[in-house]
Amino acid sequence: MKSPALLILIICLLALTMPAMAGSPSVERSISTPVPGSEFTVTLVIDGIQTGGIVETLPEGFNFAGTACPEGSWSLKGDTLAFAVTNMTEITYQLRAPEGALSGRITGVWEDFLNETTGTVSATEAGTTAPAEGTPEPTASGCMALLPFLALGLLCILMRGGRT
Amino acid sequence: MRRLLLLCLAICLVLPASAAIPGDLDGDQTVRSDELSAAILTYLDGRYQGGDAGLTQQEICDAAYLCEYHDGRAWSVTDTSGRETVLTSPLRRVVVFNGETIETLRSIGFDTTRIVGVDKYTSEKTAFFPEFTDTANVGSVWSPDYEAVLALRPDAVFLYGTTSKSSCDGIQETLAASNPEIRVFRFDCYIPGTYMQEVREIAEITDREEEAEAFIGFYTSVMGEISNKTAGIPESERPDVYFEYWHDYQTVSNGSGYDEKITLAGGRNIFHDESGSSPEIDPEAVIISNPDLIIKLAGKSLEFGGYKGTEISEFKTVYDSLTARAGWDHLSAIKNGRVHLIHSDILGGAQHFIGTSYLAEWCYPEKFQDLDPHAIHLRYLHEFQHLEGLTPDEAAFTYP
Repeated sequence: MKSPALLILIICLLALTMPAMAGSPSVERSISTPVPGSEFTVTLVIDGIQTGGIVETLPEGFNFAGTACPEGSWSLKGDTLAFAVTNMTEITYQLRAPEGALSGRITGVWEDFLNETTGTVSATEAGTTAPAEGTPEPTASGCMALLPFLALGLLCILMRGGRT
Repeated sequence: MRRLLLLCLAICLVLPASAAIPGDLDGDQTVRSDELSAAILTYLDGRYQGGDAGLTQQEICDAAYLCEYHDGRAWSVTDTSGRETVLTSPLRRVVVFNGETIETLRSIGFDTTRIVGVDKYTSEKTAFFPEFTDTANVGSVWSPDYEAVLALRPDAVFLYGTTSKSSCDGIQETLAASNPEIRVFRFDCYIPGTYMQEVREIAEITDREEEAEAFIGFYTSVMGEISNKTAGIPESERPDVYFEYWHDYQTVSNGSGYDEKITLAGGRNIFHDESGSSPEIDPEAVIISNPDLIIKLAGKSLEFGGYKGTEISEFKTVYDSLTARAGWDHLSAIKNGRVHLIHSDILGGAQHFIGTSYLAEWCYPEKFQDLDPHAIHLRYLHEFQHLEGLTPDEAAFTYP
């Protein structure tokens, strides 16, 4: 019983320390659940990029509805949305979902002009199926956060089992 | 009209050329944050949104760098040769012709992956410069491989400031004629009197001021302790020192870096007034001078010990032959056991402060009983050279 418990403990620790270990530049996207015909929010969390650029490619049928970013720091051209990043840790913008059920993916790229590196923002599915009533709104990048707690729970169960 | 033309020409010659600032839209020699944002959007449009190309990726990176580190303006640095260089971009591809400057760049935490070419001596010192084993070798200041240098497409080249001046002047002129975009910087990085100023200037070039101050603090704590205890000692009370190179009876005199280090350590070089920086002297002159302390240099022509760490037993062989020289049994230094060997790795280059602390300890054992040169050496290697795996035996550098 000791080996699985140890393994799970290691997984727990790794999962807990993963965000702290992330030293290299990254951009992560999360979205509120799109409802057909309504606006929803896209959030880009920027880590380790002081001066850079992000270009988002919007899925067909989804329209840009606005951003809180100041004028002169973003531009929309066709289905691409560009942001100039200067000392920002988060960018939010709104999209209007199309009427009726549709699916699509938001993709993106980023460039870090101080570290002289580039990368991609993981694609996010932006389906417009309305969530069932009472269902909490999941975020596209939120699942990983549950991993330490799941692992800890599993560890507790295993440890109890080991005592009996 | 002719006067006006002459005036314009004179102004052009006196003022350093104002370099173009990437992203500076209104021509005020500054890239402001709003100009940077506009330049970034134009660049992104050109690269990802099908628009016209604006600045290149490197120009955008340069503009971002200027905004981050220099308030959006160009900055200028004056090197040891007295030449001012205006910079508008960071150093990305660097060729260095002197190991002392490479070592100094490492001391201030410069990203050594940006060093794309090194001199042949640095290439050979694999124990001390392990990261350059596969880096291009560009020859030496006496025999530079221009083809190799230019093939590396460097944006900066480092040469000696005052050492081998004519050779370095020649390299600088040739590079300027081949590619005027290459920025040439001249630093010695081994002379105690100018070293700290050079560290500051190199830090300005590379924007490593904070790290440089940490190193300067360490260096000056060592050298400051030595000079505080030795500066006031009258000439008559200083121990007479005979310093010998690896060649027998070749010594040092005024103008030599070793002479300067003997003085800093509180000694009196008995051949200080000889002509030439490394004169050969009559063996009789040593006996007549009857030095209190004898120091012989190992390394180069006495190739053992040092970072290579080979044949450490040779120290004893050389020591025994030194003390057995004809007529030396009457010398005070021999009678009092004040004969030492020191390796040039810790006395001749950027590490001269380590060697100088050994000299101080040998000149004044009581005054410097709390000084621990070996601990200084290890701290330098681990904390500033980032060579955590290198813990050399003290016996590879000094004897006894």
